[in-house]
Amino acid sequence: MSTNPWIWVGAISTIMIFTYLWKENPLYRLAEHVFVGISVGYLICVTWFNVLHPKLYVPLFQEHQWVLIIPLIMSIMMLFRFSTKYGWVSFWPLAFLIGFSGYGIPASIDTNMLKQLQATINVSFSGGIIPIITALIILFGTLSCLIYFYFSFPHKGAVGKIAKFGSMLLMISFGASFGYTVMARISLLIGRVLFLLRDWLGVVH
Amino acid sequence: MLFLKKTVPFLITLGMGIFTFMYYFMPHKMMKIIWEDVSDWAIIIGGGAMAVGAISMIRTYYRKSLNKDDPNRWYSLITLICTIGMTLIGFITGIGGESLFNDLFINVMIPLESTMFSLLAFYIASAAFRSFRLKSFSAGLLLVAAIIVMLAQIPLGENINENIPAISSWIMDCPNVAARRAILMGISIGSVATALKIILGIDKSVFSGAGK
Amino acid sequence: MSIENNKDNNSSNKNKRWLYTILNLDKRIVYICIFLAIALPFFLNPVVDIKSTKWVKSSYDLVEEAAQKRKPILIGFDYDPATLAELQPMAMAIIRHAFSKNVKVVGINFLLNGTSLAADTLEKVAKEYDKKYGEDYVFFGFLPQISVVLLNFGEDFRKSYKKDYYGKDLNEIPMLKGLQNFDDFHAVFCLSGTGLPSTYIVYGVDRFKFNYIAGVTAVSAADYYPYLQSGQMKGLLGGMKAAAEYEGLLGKISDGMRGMASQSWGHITIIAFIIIGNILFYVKKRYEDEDKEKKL
Repeated sequence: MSTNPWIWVGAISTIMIFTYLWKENPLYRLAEHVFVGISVGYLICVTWFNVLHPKLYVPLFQEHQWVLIIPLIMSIMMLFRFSTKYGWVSFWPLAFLIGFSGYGIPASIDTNMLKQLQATINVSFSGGIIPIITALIILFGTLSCLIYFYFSFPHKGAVGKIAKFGSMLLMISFGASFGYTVMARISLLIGRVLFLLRDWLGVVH
Repeated sequence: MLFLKKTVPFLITLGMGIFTFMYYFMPHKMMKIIWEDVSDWAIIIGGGAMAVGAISMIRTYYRKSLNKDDPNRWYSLITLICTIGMTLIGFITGIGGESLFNDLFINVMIPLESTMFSLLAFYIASAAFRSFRLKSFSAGLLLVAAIIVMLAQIPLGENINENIPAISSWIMDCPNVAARRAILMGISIGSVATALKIILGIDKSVFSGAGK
Repeated sequence: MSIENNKDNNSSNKNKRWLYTILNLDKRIVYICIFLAIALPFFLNPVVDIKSTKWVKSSYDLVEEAAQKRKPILIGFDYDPATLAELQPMAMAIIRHAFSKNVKVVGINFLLNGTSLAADTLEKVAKEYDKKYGEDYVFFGFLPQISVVLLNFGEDFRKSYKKDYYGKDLNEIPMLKGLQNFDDFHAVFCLSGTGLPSTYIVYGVDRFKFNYIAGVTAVSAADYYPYLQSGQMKGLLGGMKAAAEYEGLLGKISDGMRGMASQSWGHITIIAFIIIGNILFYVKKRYEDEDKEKKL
C-alpha cells in the first residue's frame, strides 16, 4: 500500500465518486463540488499565466505596446454581460470574436465538402473484387446516405429504396460506433482501477 | 440606443466576417499585417471570455451559498472555498511542475474528473443488458456491426475467426466512411449556413441573454 | 387432467417469476460484474498479444521518418482528465518513441483542463530518457482561439506564442532556433477526445499541407475515417487499443498493453449482457404472446 499522502488523496477522491454507484450521497456531492471549485480556480490561474500575463500584461504594462489597450478594453466590455442595463456593451467584443467565423466558411466548404466529394469520386476501381465493391459502396453509399437526409421529396419508389440502403449503412456505422464506445468507456474505468490496484494498494505491478 | 445595441455589433461581425473571409483567398502582405494584430486581440479577448465564465460560476455559487432556504448551500460554500483556495495557491506557488498547484491538479482534480467519466462504463453495461434489443432488421445490423467491432478490438475475436479483425477494418473503411462522410457534409452545410446567417445579420440570437 | 394443468401452470409461473427476477435485476449487480471483469485480469497475466493495424503502423512510421530526417514532431495535447485513460498511454508511447530515436518534441495545448497534464507527461517521459527541457522538448502551454493560433502557426508560431508554459521567452530556447512553422515539423499529432482534431484539418492541414495524425478516444474514432480515405490524415490512433498497438510496435509495455486483458474481459462481459438481455426479452415476449392467446 502506498505511503505517499497524495496517492491517498487521489484514492479517497476516486472512492468518493464511485460511491455514487450505490446511490447519491453526501460524499459524492462533496467530491462533485470540490471538483467544480478546483476546476474554476485552475481555469483562472492557467488563463492568467498562459494567456493574459504573457500576451496582455507584459506587452502592455512592461513593454508599453499601447495598441493592446484595444483588446484590454474589449475584454473589460465582456464583463458587462452581467449587467441588465448595459449588457449590450458585451455584444461588441462578442461580435468581434464571432466575425472570425468568416474564415471558417470557405475553409469548411473546402475541407468537409469539396475534398470529401473529391475523395468519394476518386475511389479506385481496381485491385480485385473486394476493392471494387468497397469503392462502389463508398461512392453510392455516400450518395444514398445524403439522399436519406434529404427530405424535400418523399422517400418512395426508387428514392425510397436508395434512402433505405443509406439508412442501412448508417446503422452499420452507428453499430461500429457503439462497439468503439464500449471500448472507450471500459478504458476509462481501467484507468481508475489500475490507479487503485497499482498506485494505491500496490497489489498489482 | 438601438444603433449601439444592435447595429454596431452587426457591423463589427460583418466587417470582421468579410475581412477573415477575404483573408482565406488573399493572404496579401497588408492583410497579414492586419491579421497579425487582430488575431492577437482575439486570443486576448478569448482569455477575457474565460474570466466571464469564471465570474458567472462564482456569482451562481455565491448566491446559492447565501440562500438560507437551500439545505445544500454548504456544498456551494465548499465550491467557493475551493475556487478561492486553488486560485490563491496558483498565484502564490505558480503553476509549474513542482508547485502545490500542480500537485492539487494531479492528485485531486485528475482522480475526481476521470472517475466521474469512468462511471459511464457501468452505465453502458447496464444499458447493454436492459436496452440493446434486436427488434428490427436495422437494429440487427447495428447489433452485428457492434459485436464484430467489439470482438475485433480484443484477441478473442481473432481466436473465434481469423477474419473478424479484417471484417471490422472493412466496416470502418467502407460503410462507415460512406455514412460518416454524408453526416460530415450535412454538418458542414449546416455550419456554413449558420455562420452566414450570423455574419449577414439574419440570425441575431447570439446577441442576447445579457444580464442573466 | 386438471391436476396436470395446475402442475403446468405452477411450473410456468415459477419460470415467469425467475424471468422477471432476472429482468429486474438490481443494476448494482450488473455494476459488480463489470467491475470484477475489469479488476480481476490485473491479478492474472495482464499482457496480451496485440497486432498493429495499418493506421497505427503508418503513425509509427512517420515518427521513424522524423528520426531519419532529423526533424522534430509537434504534439497537440488536447485532452483532459476525462479522457486521460485512453489518451495518456497514447501520448506516452509517442513521446517514448520520439525520445528513443532522438526526435525533438514540441507540445501545444488548446484544452485548458489538460494543460498541466501535458506538462507533466512530457516531464515524466523526459526523465526516463534523460532529455532536457529546451534542448530536446518544449511545451508552449495553453492558448484559446484554436483556429487563429493554427493559422498563425502556419506562418510563424512566434506570432501567437511569445513565451512557453513556464514563462520563458521562446527566443531564448535553443531547441527552437531554426523552427518557424508547420513545415519544420515532420509530423503533427493531435491527441484529443473533443472535436479539435478536425479543427486542425480545417485550419491547418488543408492550408499548410503537413503530415497529420489524430489520436482520438474510441468513441469518436469512427468520425475520422473519411479524412483517412481522403488523405487529409496520414494516421489514426483510436482509443486504448491503438495505444497498446503503438506500445507493441515500440516493444515497450506500458498502461495501454496492461489494460488490454481487462479490455478483453470487459468486452466479453458486455457482449454476454447483450446476448442474455435479448434471450430474456424473447422469452418474455413468448410468455406474453401465450398469455394473450389464453385470454382469447
